Amino acid sequence: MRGPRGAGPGAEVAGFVDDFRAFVAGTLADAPAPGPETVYDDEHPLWEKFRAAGLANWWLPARHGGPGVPLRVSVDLIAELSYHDPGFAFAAMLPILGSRMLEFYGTAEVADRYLGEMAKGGTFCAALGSEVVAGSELALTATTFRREGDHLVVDGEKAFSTNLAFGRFCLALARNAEDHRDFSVVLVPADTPGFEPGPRWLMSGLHGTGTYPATFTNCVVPAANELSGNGLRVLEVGLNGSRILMAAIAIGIARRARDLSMEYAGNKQLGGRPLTQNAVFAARMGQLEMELESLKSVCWRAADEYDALYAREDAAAAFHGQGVLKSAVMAKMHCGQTGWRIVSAVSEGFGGLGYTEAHPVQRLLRDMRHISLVEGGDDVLRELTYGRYVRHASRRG
Amino acid sequence: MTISSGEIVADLHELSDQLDLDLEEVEVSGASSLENDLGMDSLNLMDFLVFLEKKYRVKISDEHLNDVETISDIVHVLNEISPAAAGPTGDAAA
Ligand SMILES: Cc1cc2nc3c(=O)[nH]c(=O)nc-3n(C[C@H](O)[C@H](O)[C@H](O)COP(=O)(O)OP(=O)(O)OC[C@H]3O[C@@H](n4cnc5c(N)ncnc54)[C@H](O)[C@@H]3O)c2cc1C
Repeated sequence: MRGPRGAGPGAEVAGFVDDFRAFVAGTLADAPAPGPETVYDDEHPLWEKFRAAGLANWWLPARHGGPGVPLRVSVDLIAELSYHDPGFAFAAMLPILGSRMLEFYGTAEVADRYLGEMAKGGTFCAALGSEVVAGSELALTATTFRREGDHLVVDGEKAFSTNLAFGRFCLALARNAEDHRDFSVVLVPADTPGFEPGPRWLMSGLHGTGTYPATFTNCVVPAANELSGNGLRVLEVGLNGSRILMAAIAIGIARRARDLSMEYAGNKQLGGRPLTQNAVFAARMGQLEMELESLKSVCWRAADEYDALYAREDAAAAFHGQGVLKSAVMAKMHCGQTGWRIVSAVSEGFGGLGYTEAHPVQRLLRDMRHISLVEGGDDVLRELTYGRYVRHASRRG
Repeated sequence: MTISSGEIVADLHELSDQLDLDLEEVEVSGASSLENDLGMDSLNLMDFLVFLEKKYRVKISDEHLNDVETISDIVHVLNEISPAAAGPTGDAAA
């Protein structure tokens, strides 16, 4: 498996970035804020415009018909989307989780077929790891697959999957019913009998995002839909890209929080002068800017590392060997924690108004919350970091 | 034929990239602890066991793993359950 390009954005990528920015400035910036019932599925007018502009699934490589935008550039693009609408940013970037697993570990024919459709139609795919009982202990995954001739049969229940109800296919982590150490990721097309998305979870933040439970009852799929490699590691590899982009959502939210603060403080009088001229406010904003820079740094560094691995001839094997990319986990943890501190301090700066529905700043708090929870909560990631990168002296940073 | 620690150490070296283990500066022997000396976590260990099960055509149960801490312990389990192995555990390279 090979990566299609080097690390730097070429002329084509630069043109793509211009189109992306035109969508953000010309459409997204003026779109109404999503409510709890909004779902950015592939029939939502905003998604229609995004797709019509050729912007959906921008990381898909040229050999599958995508624009092949590197992750380093994607970090900046996601920050721009999330400045206006973190829910849209989340829904738009999460298919990278499933698509990268398929790109690396699917057979050429299956990957071509499903990723080609995704690139052409600007459609969604979903990934299913989480289960209610297993929680983050993925080795306890109870969803099973059985190999029966040239088919696989999938059974089980999953707790959360974003874009699932309208995704054209999903990738589910399952355990071999006959061998509890054999895990695989299996591609299940959306129209497979026995595959049933459940009712959408109503989330406290990330409005616009559709996340659902699912059941698989005797779901029969072709044997070629099983991705190669240990399923737990395949999932870890998929999570590298989405963790970096999830971290990047914090950059956009933090910028928005800063700009809302400046706008508010420009109009708020304190001692006869605008709050912007107050030393305490100035110190707060100086602190915020420093923290915001650190969000950008960790995301860019992780994305550079990711792109360098992706550009290798043996990218799939190199990623599989490594599984979790340390810098991706660090980026998500750092952005989740620092981002939360930023929006918490900012919302405090609005006084009582910051706690009301009348001001958008409270939404930023609820949107920022997900970064420390989704794709591994901080307790889980701290334990992983300790086990893999601290306990053994040779692995310490 | 018995399985030796040397064979398992060679298997480990062969797999180290795939398992993301840094073995370059570690002297691996029968006495090496999988967790403390080799830095294996549960996922590495699972990959390693699946590899051994395939190579030696055995099924290693969770009960077998209760007392496994070192390479020699793995060798012992393999020799106990492997149809290819006969007689007491050989540990020539340990
Ligand atoms: C908006 C949203 C979108 C999502 N989209 C998807 C998706 O597309 N696909 C998908 O598969 N999942 C998805 N999820 C699920 C999400 O990834 C999980 O909820 C998240 O990883 C946390 O896992 P958990 O819910 O199983 O909780 P757990 O990890 O089980 O955590 C529950 C509690 O146990 C504690 N805990 C767990 N492990 C440890 C440990 N090792 N040490 C100490 N304490 C620990 C935690 O700190 C926490 O207090 C989504 C969730 C949300 C909210």
